[in-house]
Amino acid sequence: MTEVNPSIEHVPGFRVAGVYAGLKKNEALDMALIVSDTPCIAAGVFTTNYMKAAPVLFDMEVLQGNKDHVYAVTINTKCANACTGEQGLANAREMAKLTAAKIGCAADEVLVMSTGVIGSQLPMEKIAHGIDLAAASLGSDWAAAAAGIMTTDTRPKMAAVKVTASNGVTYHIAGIAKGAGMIAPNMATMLSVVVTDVSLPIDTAKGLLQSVSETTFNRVVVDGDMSTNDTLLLLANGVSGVTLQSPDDFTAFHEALAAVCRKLAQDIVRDGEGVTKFITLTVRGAASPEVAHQIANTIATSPLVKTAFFGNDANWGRIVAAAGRAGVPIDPDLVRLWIAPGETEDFNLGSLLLFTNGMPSGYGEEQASSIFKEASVSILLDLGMGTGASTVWTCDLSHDYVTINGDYRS
Amino acid sequence: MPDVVGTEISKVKGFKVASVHCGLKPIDDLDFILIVSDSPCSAAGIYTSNQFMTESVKLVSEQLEANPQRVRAIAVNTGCANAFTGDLGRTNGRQVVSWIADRLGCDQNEVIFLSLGQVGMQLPMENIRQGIDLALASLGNDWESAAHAIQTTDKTPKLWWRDIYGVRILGIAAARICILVSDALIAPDDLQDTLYWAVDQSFDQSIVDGETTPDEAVIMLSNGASGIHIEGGYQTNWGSFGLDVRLICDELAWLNVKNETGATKIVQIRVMRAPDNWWNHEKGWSSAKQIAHTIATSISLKVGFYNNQLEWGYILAAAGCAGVPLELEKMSLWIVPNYINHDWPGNALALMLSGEPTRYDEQQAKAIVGLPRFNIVLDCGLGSVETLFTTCDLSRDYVSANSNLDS
Repeated sequence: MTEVNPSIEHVPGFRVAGVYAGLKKNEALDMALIVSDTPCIAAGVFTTNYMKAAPVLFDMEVLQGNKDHVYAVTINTKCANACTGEQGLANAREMAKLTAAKIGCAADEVLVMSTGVIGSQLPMEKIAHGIDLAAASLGSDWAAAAAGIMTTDTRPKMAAVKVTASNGVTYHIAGIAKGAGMIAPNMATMLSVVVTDVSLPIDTAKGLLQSVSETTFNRVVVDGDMSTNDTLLLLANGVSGVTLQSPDDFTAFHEALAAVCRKLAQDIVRDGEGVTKFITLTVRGAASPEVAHQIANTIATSPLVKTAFFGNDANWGRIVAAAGRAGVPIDPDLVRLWIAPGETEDFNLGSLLLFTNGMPSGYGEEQASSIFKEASVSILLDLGMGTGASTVWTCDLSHDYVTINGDYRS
Repeated sequence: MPDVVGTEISKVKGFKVASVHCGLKPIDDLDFILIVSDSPCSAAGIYTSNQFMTESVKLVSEQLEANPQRVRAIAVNTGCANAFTGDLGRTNGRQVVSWIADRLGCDQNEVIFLSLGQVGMQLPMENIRQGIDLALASLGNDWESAAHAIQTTDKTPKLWWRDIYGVRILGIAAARICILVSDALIAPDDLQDTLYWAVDQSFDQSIVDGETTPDEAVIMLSNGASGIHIEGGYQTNWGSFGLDVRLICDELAWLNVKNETGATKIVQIRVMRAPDNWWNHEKGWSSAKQIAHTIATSISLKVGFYNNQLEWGYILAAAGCAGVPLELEKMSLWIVPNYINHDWPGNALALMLSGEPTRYDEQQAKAIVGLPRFNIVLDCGLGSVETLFTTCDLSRDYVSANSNLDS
């Protein structure tokens, strides 16, 4: 397993800043800027929501035309610049233009991201001010950058790995992310920027990012809603000189990238609004991975299942019933359900069979209860109908979620 | 037009009902009902789409498939859903049917029996046997008690009836079940069509938390005691009869949502001009229904309503991830206090018009969302499909009630 560092020291060729532009109250950091001294390959994965925010539309346009000389990403909070019409799109362009002017590149060499309230226009004076401040304080303060993109998150999310290539050269991959609440399957509501000093051809970058996001960010489910703003960006500046020629090097990079994204994605779940439980849910034995995923999503977004977890209730009936309404044919007699403490997809050790042959298994109540009381619980549902499998990460639905969501707009 | 509607009822011709306590629920709560018809009924049923259909729902659906024209009785117990109970569960269900059929002197196929409540436990057979005895000894016209006896997680009994053209239709409903009886003379196929349409337009468009549980069913019995013949086809009274069944279901579905644990407000979602030529084949849903369903099951949105917040962006975000292709520049969104009436768009507050947010008055928006009832109107500007869904907010009480923490 690749060792992932929860903080980022320095990534060669990249400079960052996190500043207070006046968007948030209490002088909390509310904007971030990531700049590369040399041109980057850039790839992006975006929300599949039909209502895409202006920054998403802008970035998609940029990456359509230009993928190999991107220099910066500017990020603001408090306003998602979504459902903002023509004005919103113009503002997203302006944000890129202002950044380009400050750092000395072209306007279509900058990507932008926004997160926050939907339906309000960007306060452009403050955005401009924030870009000024950030451009003047670029350095290695990744923690500040990670803090500058937070909204309801309670802590900044960072991940970094160092990998030694087969030619002996060490390279870096690092990422920041935000997201807590209003998260859904399929490119969870969140923003993330991952940077690396490896040299990557654009098609490789795109393919890798897509495949890694499928098994990391796309596995995250908090409350079942999908945002208008989800974006994952990958920037590679090639400064290390490493080019991943050999299959081993390629595999090592792939694993390292996945490890960074997995950490960030899981952090989003752990920091979900009001979360008291981290749940690893695996569905296997489905007709296909897509079917397995559909069932996993239905279980993970079921209010009855989530409130049961909040109450430490070993409620196998709700889990099974949720699977039954996923809209996929199931043979009730072939379904089996296990639970285990901790985060596992391997159910041989320490697991408890709750349901089999269409009935509860006669499990010991005490053992079930003790597993459900844990802060981290794993569930395995085997449908016995194929080899398709999917794992999602989710959390419970608590009183605090209801309270936190109510205060968001203020 | 109907003669009378209401909640107080004297009787439905040819039907008798009894509600008793036989120890399935705690504290003397009514937990078993028996409805008996003097003459055989046409019967129709709509059952849960959950793949884990309970043994009792499975049995009823098989019985009505085989014999929809001679049903004499329906019994319902609460406190135990006879779910995930395997072969023994099935045997027990048949046994109860057998007991009732013997006592009534009719065939086993003429008695249907539904179980609601806790899953994973076998039916307490002795209690049910007692329940049958007690019920047979107290058959009468107390429909209100029957409405009470079929409650599981819900808090109040729901009953509604209508008279039309000399026919009476009555419905009782609870969180998991609706039973409709009428004295109309109607063929089983026609009754099934009527029920299908009524349920599709009412219960299927009323969302509490979007959970389709394994024990849900809607059953209708019609015994012909009025002598009024309802037949299918044009220029008949079928249309009015169907409409009345639907109106009763509307009312009962509405009451189900309104009385849901912790709900403080009813929100109706009207989706208009949704794309034609889009269909969810698995569920048989139109584009408008798919969008409305996604909005109505959005946890963040409903928590927001509970907190008197209007994050209208969440409405669009939910619509945008329903799976139906939409174009933001064509969409418009309003909220409307209380009812949408012929005054539309008179008292509506526009939040977004053709993809552009309006400069709406925040105070006015807040005032509307704070009401115990308001509407959301979403115009997709793409086609001609529309629908109306009813839902409620998601509160702390919902979390408490369903997380067992307060018990």
